[in-house]
Formats: sequence, structure tokens, C-alpha cells
Amino acid sequence: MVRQIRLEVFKLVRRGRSYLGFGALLLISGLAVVALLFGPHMIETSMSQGFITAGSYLNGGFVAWMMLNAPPTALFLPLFACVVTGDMVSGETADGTLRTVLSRPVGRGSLFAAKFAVSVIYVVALTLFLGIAAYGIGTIFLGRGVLVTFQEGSMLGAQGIYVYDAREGLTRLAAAYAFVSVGVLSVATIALFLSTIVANSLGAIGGAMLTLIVFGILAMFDFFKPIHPFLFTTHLDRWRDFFTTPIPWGEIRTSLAVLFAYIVVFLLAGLTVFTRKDVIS
Amino acid sequence: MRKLLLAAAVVGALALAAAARPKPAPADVIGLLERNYASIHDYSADIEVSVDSPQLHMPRSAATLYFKRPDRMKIVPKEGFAVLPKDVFPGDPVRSIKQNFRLERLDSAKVGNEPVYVLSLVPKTTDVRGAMKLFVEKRRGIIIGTDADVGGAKFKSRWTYARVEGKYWLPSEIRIEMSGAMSTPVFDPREVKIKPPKSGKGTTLVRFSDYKINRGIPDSVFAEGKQTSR
Repeated sequence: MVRQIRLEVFKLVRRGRSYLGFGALLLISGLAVVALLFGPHMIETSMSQGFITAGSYLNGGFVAWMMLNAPPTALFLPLFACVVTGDMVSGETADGTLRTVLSRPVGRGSLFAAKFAVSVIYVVALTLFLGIAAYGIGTIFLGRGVLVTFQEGSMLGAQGIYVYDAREGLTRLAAAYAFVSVGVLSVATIALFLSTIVANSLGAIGGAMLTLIVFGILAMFDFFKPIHPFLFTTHLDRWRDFFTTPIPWGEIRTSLAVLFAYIVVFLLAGLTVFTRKDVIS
Repeated sequence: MRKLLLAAAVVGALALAAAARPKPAPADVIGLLERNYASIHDYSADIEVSVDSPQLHMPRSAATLYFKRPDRMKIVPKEGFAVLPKDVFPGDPVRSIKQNFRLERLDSAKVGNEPVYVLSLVPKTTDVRGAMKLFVEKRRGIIIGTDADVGGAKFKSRWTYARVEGKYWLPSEIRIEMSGAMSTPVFDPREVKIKPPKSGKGTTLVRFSDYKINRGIPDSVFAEGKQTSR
């Protein structure tokens, strides 16, 4: 099993598309820092009327928090994860290498488990990379300091502003990124499952992203409110709760349970399809 | 009988004299406040601010406050960023009050057992929350509290003092209780909705320590850095 995981990691490292997400997230982090350095930042106006603010809240911690909050990241992070996990089986099917691999005495179950393990490693690495890159670039150009976050609104007008000292801010950021990696893994597992069905990785990536978008749209309408708690998209945003006081652990546990349920269901579904799959090409 | 009449006449005369004594004007109370700060040319103090309200939650923010006459003030945060409520009138409170408010009316009252002047202030700039009542202790000539009622929000501050260097009464702690609407409606791009103002109750606590008075703060302290006052 460990050997199979090593082999899957080797294949992952050799593929150019594995680095696409890291490169793009590094670029996005850099652009965010440039925007913060030179763009308007007026969150001070929201610091409740009647406060004098001194210094700057713009720092590495804020950039790392902002990257989670930025809508493009909410889309790109799952996309880059799916680009890799959606290719895990379908890519090899299309290349014809899966047939060669399966012609050797290797258990399909353990092979799929190895692919899932590598998916987990990749998703966690990608998510943490975003946090480290954003925090690192932000710290280099903006420095360190207290972490200022807000629950609602935008930088131009914010509500529910929470300020934490640098150390506590970093701990909360680490927890939030860990949570986000679970959320991204739920989408990535859907892509892995779809890659066992389709022969083209684009179909798996597109299918997973379409699920994300459709669930996101369903969450926008009150008509579908009864099913909202069961949509994984409802729980992807729960990382925000790590930046409130007190932290609503009960709700976080519920969201983690839903996300893990998606992971387990699609993992088992993928395993079932993969073990019964007729690999003929 | 004659003695009784004489006593009544003396009491009556004293009462008349008391009634005839001129009532202090709002400007006299400001003068009383000024006396406490008159011999302070500059000072620095460590400040610690904690805010717990529906709009702003900040467990602890530390900074150093510098003030130099006539009107130079600087807050240097210890962790890159700090906030300080305007209700504490940092720097020279008297100057800040004169600059931003019109003195409208003066009353007398008691806070606990302490006789106080109650000064009604009307804003003349947009740099302050709004109209407020200022409670000035008659005995020491110091601000001991403020009450403000602004657009659905109430702010009440109570000031505690320490005798600094055996001469000056300066605030050691200011506690501000807030209730009502604490923010303006904002557009939330994630939910594509306008969110109503955050409302509820909150407390801000400001602690002052390590006052250094008239030590000659160099002008360079006030030169750099960004400070926003809204």
C-alpha cells in the first residue's frame, strides 16, 4: 500500500498540471498583496463610528484571511484540486496506462485507496500552500501584526469586526485552513469518483465543478431551504466561524460531519465503480 | 422673641445671598477643567483597549499615547494596529471639547454623593458622534462621565482617576457602555444582500498606565505613521 502511494506521488510529481494550482495560487496571493498595497482600504470606516484607528491592519495575517474570503479563491481552490483528482483514474484510462497497471498483480481496492490517499495529500498541500504563500508574501511586504477580520460586508463597509493578537490570529488561521482543506477534499472526492466513470478527465473536473456551482445556486434560493443543510456548499463557508468569539464548535462539528459524509460516500461510490470497471482500452 | 426675629433675618439674608450669587456659566466649567491640564505641556501613557460589542470585538489592543501642546497627538500601536474610542477625548480633552462642541446648557446634579456639573454639548463638527452630556465633578474639576444618545444608539462612559506624580488627576480607566445600533447597513457581496446594522449591547474598557508628564517629547515622535480619525 505504501509502495502504491509512493508510486502515485511519483506520478503526481511528474505531471505538469500538478503545479498549475500552486503557481496560480502564488500569483493570486501576489496580486492580492499588490492590490492591498496600492488600492483603497477603508475598513477603518467600519470600525464602529467614534473610534480612532492607529497603524495598519494590513499584514500577512490579513492577506491569508482575505485569500479565504475572496470569491475567486472559493472557486479556484476546488478547481485546481479537481484538475488533479479528476485526472487520477480517467487520465490513466485515456492514456491506456491503467490497463497496463491492472494487468499486474495489484488489488484494485488498494490502488484506488492509494489514489485517494494521494488526493488527500495534494488537497491538503494545495490548501496549506495558499495559506503559507499568502501569509508569507503578505508578511514580507506588509509586515506582521494583529489579525483584523470581518463577518459580513466588504473592505469598504464591514460588520462584525473581530480583532485578534498576532499569535491567536495565526492559530485561528491554521484552524480555518485545515477546515477549508476538508471542504476542498469533498469536491475533489466527487471529481475522483467521476473520474472512475468517465474516460476523459475534463468530464470529471467539469462534473465536480458543475456540482459545486449547482449546489451553490440552490443555496441562494429560499425555496430549497429544506435541503440546504444537506448541501456540502452550505458548509464550505463554516471556516468563518473560526474568526468569531466564542467559536461555535457544535456548528463546526456538524459541518465537518456533512463534509466527511460526502467524502466517504463518493469514496465508496468511486471504489465500487473502480473495482467493477471494465478497463478495455 | 427679638432673638428669634434676628435669627430669621440672618437666615433670610443668607438665603438671599445664596440666590443672588451668580450661577456659573458653561464656559466657567470649561475653565475649571482647563485648570487640571494647564500645567501639562506634554505626556505619554500606555493604553490598553478592549472592546466587546456586536460590531467590534477586540479582546486587547495595546498602544502608547503621546500628546504635546498645543494639539499634537499620536497613538503608536504595539502590534501594528490599535483603536481608541473618541469618547475618551485623548490628548487634551478640553481642547477637543471646545473644538468639536458648542456649550449649550449647564445644570447641576449628583452622581452618587458627588455634586457634578452637567454640561450639554452640541456638536459643531462631524468629527464626533453627536450631542452629549458631560459630567464634571465640582470638587476636583474633572470629567467623570459622558452620556450620548445618537441615532438609536446610546453611549455612557464613566471615568476613574489616579493622582499622577502627586499633582495631576488623570484617567486610569474609562468604561464605555454601548447599546442600540452600532454600525451602518452594509452590502454583503457574498450573499448579495444589504445587511441591517449590527445592534445590541457592548462594552469598551480603556486603561491608562505609566504616565510620563512634561518630559519633553521630541517632535519626531509625531512625524511619521498613519492615524485615522473618524
